Amino acid sequence: MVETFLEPLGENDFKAQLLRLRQRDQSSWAVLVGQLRRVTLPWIVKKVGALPSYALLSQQEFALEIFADSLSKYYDLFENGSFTKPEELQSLMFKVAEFKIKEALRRLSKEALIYRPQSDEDFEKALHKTPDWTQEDDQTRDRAKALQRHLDTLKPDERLLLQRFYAGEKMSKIAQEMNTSEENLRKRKQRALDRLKQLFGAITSMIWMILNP
Amino acid sequence: MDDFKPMNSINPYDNDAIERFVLGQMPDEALDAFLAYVALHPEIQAEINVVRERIKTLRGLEQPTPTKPTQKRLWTFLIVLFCIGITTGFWFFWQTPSSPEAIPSPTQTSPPPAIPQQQPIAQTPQTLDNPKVEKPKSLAAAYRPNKFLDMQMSNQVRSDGLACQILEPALDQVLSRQSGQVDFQLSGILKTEEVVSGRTFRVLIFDNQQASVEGMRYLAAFELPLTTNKNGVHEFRLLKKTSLKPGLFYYIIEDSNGDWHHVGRFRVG
Repeated sequence: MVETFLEPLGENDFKAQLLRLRQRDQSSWAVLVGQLRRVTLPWIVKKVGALPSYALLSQQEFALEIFADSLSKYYDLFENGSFTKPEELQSLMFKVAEFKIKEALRRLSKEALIYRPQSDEDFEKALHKTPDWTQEDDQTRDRAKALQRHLDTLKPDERLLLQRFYAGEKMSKIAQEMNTSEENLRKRKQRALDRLKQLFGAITSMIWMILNP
Repeated sequence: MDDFKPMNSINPYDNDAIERFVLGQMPDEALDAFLAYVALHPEIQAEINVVRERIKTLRGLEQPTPTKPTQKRLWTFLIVLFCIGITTGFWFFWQTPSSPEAIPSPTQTSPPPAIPQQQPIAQTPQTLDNPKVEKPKSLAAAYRPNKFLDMQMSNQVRSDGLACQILEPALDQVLSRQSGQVDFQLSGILKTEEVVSGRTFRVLIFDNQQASVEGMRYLAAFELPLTTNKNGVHEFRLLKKTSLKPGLFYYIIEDSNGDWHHVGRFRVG
C-alpha cells in the first residue's frame, strides 16, 4: 500500500512536489489529498468497525468526518515537518488519523447525549457517567435544543423534507415521491433554512439587547 | 469539478457543496479539491460544523415514516368506502321492515322502531377494533423481510472455506419476550479446514431496516465463545438476554476483519 503511494507523481521530483505543497498550490494539494484518501479512508472504515445503534452518522459519513478532521491537523504538522520520502507523508497521515479515530469514537456517546431529545432528569443521570463533558458540549447542546424548538415552528411538510434530506435521501427521490419537481423542493428547503436562520438571528439579537441595555 | 462554484474570494464553495460533502454525496474528484481547500482554509471549518450540527440535530429527532401519495389516496378511498357502507347500512335498516307489523302506514309519522338504529351503531366499534384497519402498518413493517440480508442468507458458504452450521435458533424461530427482554440463544459448529485458534468472532443483531445494515447500526453485539472438542470440531454456544421489540430480526456472525460468515433470521413475538 505504502509502496504505491504518490506513484502518479513519480514523473516529478519529490522535492519539487514538496515545494508546490509548501507554496499552498491548490491542485498539488488536491492530488495529495486524493492519494491520502484512497489509502486512508478504507483503513479508517476498518478501524472504526460497526457503529453502535445510537450513532447519528453512517459508517462512511463517520469515516469521512474523521478523515476531514485529520486533514486539518495534517496540514499544520506538514507545515512544520520535514520529509525526505513520499512514504513519510502517508505515515504522518496514519498517525494523525489514528489519534482522530480515538477522539471521534469517544465523542460518539457524547453526541447521542447532545443531539437526542430527552428529559432533564435523564440527561443529568447520563451526565454523571460522562466525566469528560465540557463547557463546549454544553454550548453545542444548547444550540441543538434551540434548533429542535425552531424546527417545531416549521410546517410539517417542510420539517419532513429537511429530515428526509439530511437523513441522506436524494432530492430526486423525495421529489418523485412527493409528486413535485426537484427545483421546487430545493426552493422549499432553502425557504425553511432561511426561516430557521431568521429565528436564530432574532434570538441572538434579543440576547445581545438584554446583555447590552 | 462541477462542485467548484466560485461564490466569492473568501469561500468558493456554496452551502449546497458543503451539504453534499457532509452527506458523502460529492463525487471523488470534487471531494479531493474540496478537502484540499478545507485543509488550506481552516476558516471554512466553521461553516461545515454548522451543517454537521444541523444534520445531527435532525437525525437525533425521531424520524417520522414518510407517507407516500399513493398510500394517502388508498386511505382516502378506504375511508370513503367505509362511509358509503355505513350510510347504505343505515338506509337499508330504515327502509327494510323487520316484520310485516312494523311497516309504517303512509300517514304514520312516529319514528321507526329503535332496534334497526342500534344495529349499525353496535357494529362500529367492531370495525375499528379490526387489526386490518388500525394496526397493520407498523406491525407489517416490523416483520417485513429485508431482501438484502435474505440474499446473504442464501449464500452462507464463504470463499475462504469457513462455514457455520447453526443448531439454534432455527430459521424464523419465534423467541418470546419476558419483561421486554428475550433470551437469545445461539449454538452451532464452525466448519473449516483452517486453524481457528486466536481468531475472534462476534454476533451482531440487526432489525429488518436496510438503513440499519447499511449504517452498521446494530441493536446488540456479543463476543462468540469458540471451543474445540476432542474430535477437533469447533463449537460455539451463546446465551444472552437482550431487549428487543416484537418484529423480525437478523443476526450476523462476523470475524475480527469484519467478514461475514453467517446470516440468520428470527422473530420476536
